[in-house]
Amino acid sequence: MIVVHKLPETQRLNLKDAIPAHSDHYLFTETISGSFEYPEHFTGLGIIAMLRGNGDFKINDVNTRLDENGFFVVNRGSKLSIRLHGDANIPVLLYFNTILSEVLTNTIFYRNKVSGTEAMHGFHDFSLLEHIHYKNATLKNHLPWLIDLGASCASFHALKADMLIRVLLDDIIAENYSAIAVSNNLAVVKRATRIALYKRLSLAKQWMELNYASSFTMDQVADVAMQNTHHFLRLFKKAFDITPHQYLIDIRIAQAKNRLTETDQSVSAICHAVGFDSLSSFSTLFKERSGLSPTGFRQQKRI
Amino acid sequence: MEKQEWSRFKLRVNIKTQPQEAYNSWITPGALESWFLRRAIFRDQQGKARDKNSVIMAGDSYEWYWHGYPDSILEKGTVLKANGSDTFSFTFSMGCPVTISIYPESGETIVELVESDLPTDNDTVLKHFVGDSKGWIFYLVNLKSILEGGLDLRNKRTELTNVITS
Repeated sequence: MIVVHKLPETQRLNLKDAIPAHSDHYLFTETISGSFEYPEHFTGLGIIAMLRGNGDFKINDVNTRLDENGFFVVNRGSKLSIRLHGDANIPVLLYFNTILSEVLTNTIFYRNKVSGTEAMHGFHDFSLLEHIHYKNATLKNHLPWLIDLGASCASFHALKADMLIRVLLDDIIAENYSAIAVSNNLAVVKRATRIALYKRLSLAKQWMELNYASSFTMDQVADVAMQNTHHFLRLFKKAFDITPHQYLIDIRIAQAKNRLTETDQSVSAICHAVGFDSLSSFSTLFKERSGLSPTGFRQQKRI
Repeated sequence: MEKQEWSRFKLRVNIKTQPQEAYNSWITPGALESWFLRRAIFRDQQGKARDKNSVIMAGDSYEWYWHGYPDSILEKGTVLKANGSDTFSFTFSMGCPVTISIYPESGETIVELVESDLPTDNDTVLKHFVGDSKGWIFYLVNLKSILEGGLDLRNKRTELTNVITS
């Protein structure tokens, strides 16, 4: 049952044989004040987030600070330890039903194999997703619902929690499928190198998605990916089949379309709000991608 | 004392109405929305959505949304049987069949709900047996309330949570 559990009591674990297999979804959360340490242990496939506050998470010997704006996907068999400081921190650890996640993963990957695409390997390995994910309003909305349902007397509360978790799990499996396809494009043989490279490129991609409205150069984006600019530009195109510059334009145009549809802001205001410097450049690029001028697009959407 | 059977449960509610009226409460999307669901979408086997007053048929697929919860919380399933008079059956909660049987008894109409093929492993038996039966008890009572007195007991506010009425 997706009951809300407090974090399990700390105990000395034998790391050699303690990879968990969860027979159901488990949600661990607790309000913690003051210093708190949770020792290293193996995780199931799941999500780690901070509902409130921030915490230091060490995942497979990599230190990561999480706050309320992001979440972390953990692979089954990864090692995790937690350190918290300050008042009223609320960590959330959601581990998926092991068998269900494997069945769903098999379904997605074998369905695509049947449809003619080349079989992918290692699709039960979610290492490519083991980094901070930002800009996911769905998850931020879901976690409070899950915590509420886990301790609820509401009708069908366990079933509703399962439905919500299924949405999260489907999203993660789909993203892993996409990540494996993209990382294969890098054509790097050594697994650890391919994973590291993919994570850096993903980080850069996310950074652009978060900062699209600001003015920045591709040198700065390459810094986020911890690569020199030439390598970053080449690898990004190789992985995602689009240049970073084109990707940024696509993000900005998509945001402009949302604003044109949902607000009464002037086209000029929207142009600058989404990060374009020049109204004429914005209009030209918008028309190239949508076939309509910004004004024409707005009119069409509002008919 | 007989051993508890955890793979199925049966609920019965008595309603002062005609059997056909009780049956009609289950068999159109609009009827289900009047006492059970916020939104009930049924599609025929060609994928075409039925309108609110269209009779649901065996083989239809469904998407169900509840008052008090966002669209990300939805249940999907299939209609197994609908005989037009006294039996309606569908999959629910991990594919378990739910059978509705409607018949007269002592001058009233009994709506009987049986959910079966429930998993009985220790880890999930509570989730299905207890969780689902609790949910159905409230909604069967709401069906009785609506058919007998027109009073809808459901909570429809998303800001009010952890209540048995949603």
